Amino acid sequence: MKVNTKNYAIALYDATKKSKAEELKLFIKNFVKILAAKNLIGLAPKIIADFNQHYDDTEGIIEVKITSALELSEAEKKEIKNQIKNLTKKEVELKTIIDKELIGGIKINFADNLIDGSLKTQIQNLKKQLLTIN
Amino acid sequence: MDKNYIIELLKQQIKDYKTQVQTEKVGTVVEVGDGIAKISGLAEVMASEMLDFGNNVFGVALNLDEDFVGAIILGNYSQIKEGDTVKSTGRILEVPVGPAVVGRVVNPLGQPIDGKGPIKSEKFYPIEKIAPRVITRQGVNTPLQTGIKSIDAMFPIGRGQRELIIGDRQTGKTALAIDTIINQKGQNVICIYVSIGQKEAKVARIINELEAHGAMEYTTIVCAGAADPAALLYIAPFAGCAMGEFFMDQGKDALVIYDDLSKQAVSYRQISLLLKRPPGREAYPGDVFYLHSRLLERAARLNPDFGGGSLTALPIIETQAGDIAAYIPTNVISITDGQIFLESDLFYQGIRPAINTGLSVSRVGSAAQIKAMKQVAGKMKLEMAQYRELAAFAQFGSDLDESTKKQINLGARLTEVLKQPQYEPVPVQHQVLIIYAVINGLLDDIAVEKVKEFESGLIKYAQTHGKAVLEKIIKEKQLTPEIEAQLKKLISDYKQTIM
Repeated sequence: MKVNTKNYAIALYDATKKSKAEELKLFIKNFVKILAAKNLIGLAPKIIADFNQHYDDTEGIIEVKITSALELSEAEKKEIKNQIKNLTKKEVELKTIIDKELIGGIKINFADNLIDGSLKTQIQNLKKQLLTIN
Repeated sequence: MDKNYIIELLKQQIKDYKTQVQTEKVGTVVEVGDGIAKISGLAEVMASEMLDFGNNVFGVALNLDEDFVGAIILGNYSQIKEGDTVKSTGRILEVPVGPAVVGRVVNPLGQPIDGKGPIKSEKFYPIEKIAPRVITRQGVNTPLQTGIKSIDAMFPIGRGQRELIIGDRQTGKTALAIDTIINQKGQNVICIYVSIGQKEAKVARIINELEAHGAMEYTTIVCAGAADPAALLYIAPFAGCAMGEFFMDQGKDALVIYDDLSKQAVSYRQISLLLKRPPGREAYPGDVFYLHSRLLERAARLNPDFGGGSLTALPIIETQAGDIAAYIPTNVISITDGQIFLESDLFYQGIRPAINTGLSVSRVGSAAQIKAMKQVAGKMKLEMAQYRELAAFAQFGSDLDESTKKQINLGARLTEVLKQPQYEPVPVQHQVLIIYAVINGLLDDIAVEKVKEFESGLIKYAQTHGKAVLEKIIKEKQLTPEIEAQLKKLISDYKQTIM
């Protein structure tokens, strides 16, 4: 039978949802024991990823990845956070990446959406537009 | 041009350039190879939506699974890496259509490959479209003259019909199709030749041949070569069909030739297996029948309320060792309105086109013939069938009675008359003339070996001395007793000149 990691993640979430901190340790320990007994330790990273996804989905948290050329200030991060919170009506968890290739501006990734405000893309678009005039 | 002017223009453009930031739906490539990509994300993608892989490479989403989207990549997939971003475009795959593509050689995406510059077409048609519905259609009633005597006389093709050309390799399937295109000159038919998985050299030869006969003026060639990825081979007939549909919607007549659908089925099988769809008979996926039926169903004759246009389809299928009972041939035979079966045995006997008159059929029948042709060729199929039976019998060299001899004589002459070299389509009035002569026994005193010679002589003679009667056949579209008398006289006059 094909193992569905999603089901394990959901089970783990349901079991740990209302538990207290001291219980949690035991739960996790038992969960790992089950995985070991079923020879599924190899799937752990996938289960963790699925758990992450499921946790965010049910708790209304959204992971937002911001790629920028330069380090963003705290004020800028807060502004972006608020904007996306308004847009999605979800709690925002920020993740920032520095990528010099963007030259300037930022790229915002959340769920399957991409808001591309980087200078690199703008320049590419300008190039495209200049090439289309005869 | 002035340097400063260019710089000014450039400055203006840059000044006018508006930065736009929009939200795009994206996914990530998880797996790529063999022209297939597995993509995670792309949550709201539609089935058969176009995907942008960047660098001008596009794909089509075919499998929408729980966690992944399976897509085919149209074009060069060697630059696509795991982790690349894929954008959804919100558009279904479409090709440019309209007069701009006529006379061009394009790939299945409608991009020119003939080096004659970009195609400037404002009109685009989606490659997948639901076929015309019942109320928009009408019966086939106008002939599509192929210029091939045996087809026009015995298995007539009408505008809006779907007639399969089937046979082994090297039996003249493509030749039939090309002759048909050449014969459409001046007939107001736009032709689209879709080449699927053919050698590029062969396509180049076809283009040259069409150009030499002035047929490229009304022809589009959609070419997916043997070196192109399977995805392009799979969509090529749909692209060609969309181009033809445009003319049908304009109330014009169009002809599409799919050369050949067996190669398309094979590339679809490849894609399906790579996308891990379950294999069925001969490892083809379960929907290979639907693949061809939805394509061929788009051929139609629209009724005058809907413009009265038509789209005729001539699919070609290559059989292995004459096996028409294999999976794909039986499928397509059952979909089409008849088939023209070419046989290698006949081909090597020198009967070219090598049409097997027993296995070929046109289910539209005489509705797709002008009345004159109906009158002369009505009993031809029967005569040929009887001849074949008797000829097999007569090989034993036994004494034959008078009526059998007569039948064999007629059959031998008919067979001789139906032979026809490549690239020489015969206009319908000439066909009527020569078939009239044979079927009425006016050639019985000509030796069988001399029949071909007699035929070409007669047609040459008729073009100078019998112009009036030939024109009358076209005008009246039927043989009145008066025309018949004139034909008889014409033939006997010619006989006098050669005796």
